[in-house]
Parts: sequence; structure tokens; C-alpha cells
Amino acid sequence: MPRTKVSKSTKRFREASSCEEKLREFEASFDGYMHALEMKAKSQIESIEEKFYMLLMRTDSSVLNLRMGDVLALNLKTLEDCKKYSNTLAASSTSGTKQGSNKQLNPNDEEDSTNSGSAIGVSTSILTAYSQSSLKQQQQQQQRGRTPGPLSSARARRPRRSRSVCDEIHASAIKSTTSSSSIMDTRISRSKMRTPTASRSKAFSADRSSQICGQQFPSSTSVQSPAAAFLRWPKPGEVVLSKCGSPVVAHVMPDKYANVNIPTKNGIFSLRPKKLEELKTDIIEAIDSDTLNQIRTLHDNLNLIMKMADGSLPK
Amino acid sequence: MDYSKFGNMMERNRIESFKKWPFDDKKACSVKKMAEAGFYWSGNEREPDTVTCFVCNKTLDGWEPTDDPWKEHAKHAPQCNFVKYGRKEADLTVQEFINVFSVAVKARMDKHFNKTLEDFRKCAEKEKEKLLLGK
Repeated sequence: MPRTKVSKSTKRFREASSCEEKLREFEASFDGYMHALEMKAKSQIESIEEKFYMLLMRTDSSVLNLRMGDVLALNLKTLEDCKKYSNTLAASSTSGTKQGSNKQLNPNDEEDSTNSGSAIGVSTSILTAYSQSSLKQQQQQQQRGRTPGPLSSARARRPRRSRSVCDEIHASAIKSTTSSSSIMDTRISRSKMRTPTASRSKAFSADRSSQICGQQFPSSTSVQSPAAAFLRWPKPGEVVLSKCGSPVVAHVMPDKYANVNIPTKNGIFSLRPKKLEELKTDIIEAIDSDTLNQIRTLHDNLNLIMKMADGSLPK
Repeated sequence: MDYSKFGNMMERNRIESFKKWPFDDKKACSVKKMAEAGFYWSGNEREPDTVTCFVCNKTLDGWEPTDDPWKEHAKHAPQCNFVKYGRKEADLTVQEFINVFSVAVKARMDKHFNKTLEDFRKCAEKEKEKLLLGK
């Protein structure tokens, strides 16, 4: 039986479909360009953040703690003048900072700071400067009645542990909100049962400066904690429990030598300060790209320390 | 040191930016105090009392002689990093100044990038219209 023929390939239909096709292409390429632009902008902002971070890291704390008024009053004409002044200042205050940094540091961390502080004086002073400014920020946030993070908001909501312990902690926190010892104390009151989140897995430095440094430069690196942090190995007999997974007992590492721990798919790859004779290629396969980037940053940081150390050696 | 290249980041340059300001030095919102509180002049002949913060880019006008620049800044832009420190340039430490400086630079970059993206979007819309009209 014949039927009415519907012509699909009329000129009009062809034009309409080609126009729609063009529109689709246009929108797709527009989205692509927009995305590329956004990514470029993001990466440029990140590179600027990193530059500022490095500037702060590389500047001596004695310079960082100067008042801007005093610096401007010096009327330094050129960059060379600035460098000279910075060097003389650093040289004159070397002994001062050693004494000063010990005073400024948290008495609880005295053991750690005396162990590591003398070895890497520059980083200690930078961390001290960081913790000072971060404590100021924290104070300001407290004054404004804000809750800086999940830990503080959890603390503010209600005591999580037995009342007797919490009362003691609250009292100490009120007495000395500025001292980081109170922060150390409140860690006791943290709940035993916390919702495991990815962010919980990061390591805190002994004086908790890592958390705050991370806030100050949130995306300067892919890691939340700062490039260098002083951590404390558990003392012999001290048990470390995982709060976001199955209980774990940390292996007590001797803190006599510097080492590098790299998380891999198979576990932790720990580098010791001994000459490596051979390395299997499968280690690279076990390291993901993010970790590889982190190692690259670590490598740069180590080079920086070595450069500084070589520069300060008497010739 | 040539401070002019730092633009409105430096207090002395902010003071110099005030080409026309309706209040004299005795008033609470004098040019010096405005610059101390982070504001540079962004006004014109018709609206000479318009200022902008160099960190948060907040623009304020309608000033009265008794207005305190710091208080007004904190009221209208409490999130501003410069207001959070609450001290003039000379009383900030070098570290604090670098922190403020970095925030200001990032804010400028953000603004610039957003404008570029917006321009691109508008340009694309125009092209799309042309395409549709051609249909």
C-alpha cells in the first residue's frame, strides 16, 4: 500500500541541522576555552602563592619580626642595601634568636626544640614566627566569636569527655588562651569516637603549628601541612592510636638521624641517610603522581636547606 | 627605593592618590587617616568622596566629617585582612605586611581574571547571537 512520502532531506532541514551542529560545536569549544582559562588563572594564582610562601620561608625571622615603620625609616635605596642590612641583622641576632626562640617556644616542646632547634635554627625561627602570628589570628577569631575549625566547633558545642577532665581543660584554656600549651591540653579532651574523615589523617606538629600554617597558605602546596614541621616521634613505651581507622601502634623510630618517609601503595618507603646501592624500578610504579609531586617539592626544600648550609659554612 | 611601582599597596602612595578630598586634616576622615586605614582615592569630579581598600577592594562613599575610617572599614568589610590586623602600615611587622600584600595581590589577580572571563563570555554570547541570526 502506498503512503505519503516524507522527505527528510529538504534544503530547509539540512540548513537547520547544520546550524544546530554549529551551535553545539560552538558551545563545546566555548566551554573548553573557558575551562582552559580558568585552569590557567588558578595555576598562576597558585604559583604566586608559592612565591610568597617561599619568600616568607627564606626570610630570616629577625627581619620578619621587624616593624614596617622601622624598615621604611631605614630608607634603603637598593635591593643590595636591603640584603646587606638583612645579613648584618641576621649575624648580630644569631645568639639572640637562639635564646629568644627557646623562650618563645612552648615549654611542653622544650625537649623537642632543644633537640632539633639547634640543628636547624632557621626553620625553628620561622616556625616560631608562624606560630606567633597564627596564635594572634586564633585569638582574633576567638574575640569575634568565630569557630575556626571543626575541632574548635566541636569543642565549643559541648564537652566530649567526662566533666571532671573537661572542667580542668576549660579552666586552663580560659586562663591562657594564647599559650599553645592549652592547645596541647585540649587534645586530651578530644573524643574517642570521631567521624573518620580524610582530613583527619594528616600529621600534626608538636606545637600544632602545621594546622594553622595550612590555613594561612591553604593551596600553596598539595599537602595541607607546611613544607617543614617539627614532629615528635613517640617515646619508647608511648602508644600511638589511630583515631580514624583501626587502632595502630606506631613503630618507635630513633630520632638520631634525618630520614624521609614516602607513602607507597605497598606501605611506607623510608629513606635513611646511608648511600643507596640499588633501587628497584617498581618503587616508581608504587608511587602515585601526587606523591611524586610532593617528593619533588621535598627535593627542592632539601636542596634549599643544603644551599643555605653550604652558604653559611666558613670558606 | 622607588616605592611608586608598588602602587596603592604603600601608604605613601595611597596618600598621594587623593586628588580631591572634601575633608581637611583636622577631620576624623582626613586623607592621612583614610590612607592609614587602607583606602586610596577612587573618586572623580562629581563624586570626590569615593575611596577603595587596597586589600579587599571595598569601595565606600558618602563620608561624613566625623566618620572613623577604621570603624567604617571594619563595619563594611569585616573579612578584610588589613582590618583584621587593625594597625596602620608602620605598626605591622614585615611578616604581617607580606601576608597582607599577598592577599592584595591575589585579590587583584582574581579580579583581573574574572574580568577577562566575563569579557570572553560576553564576546562568545555576541558570536552566538550572530550565528543564530544567520540562521
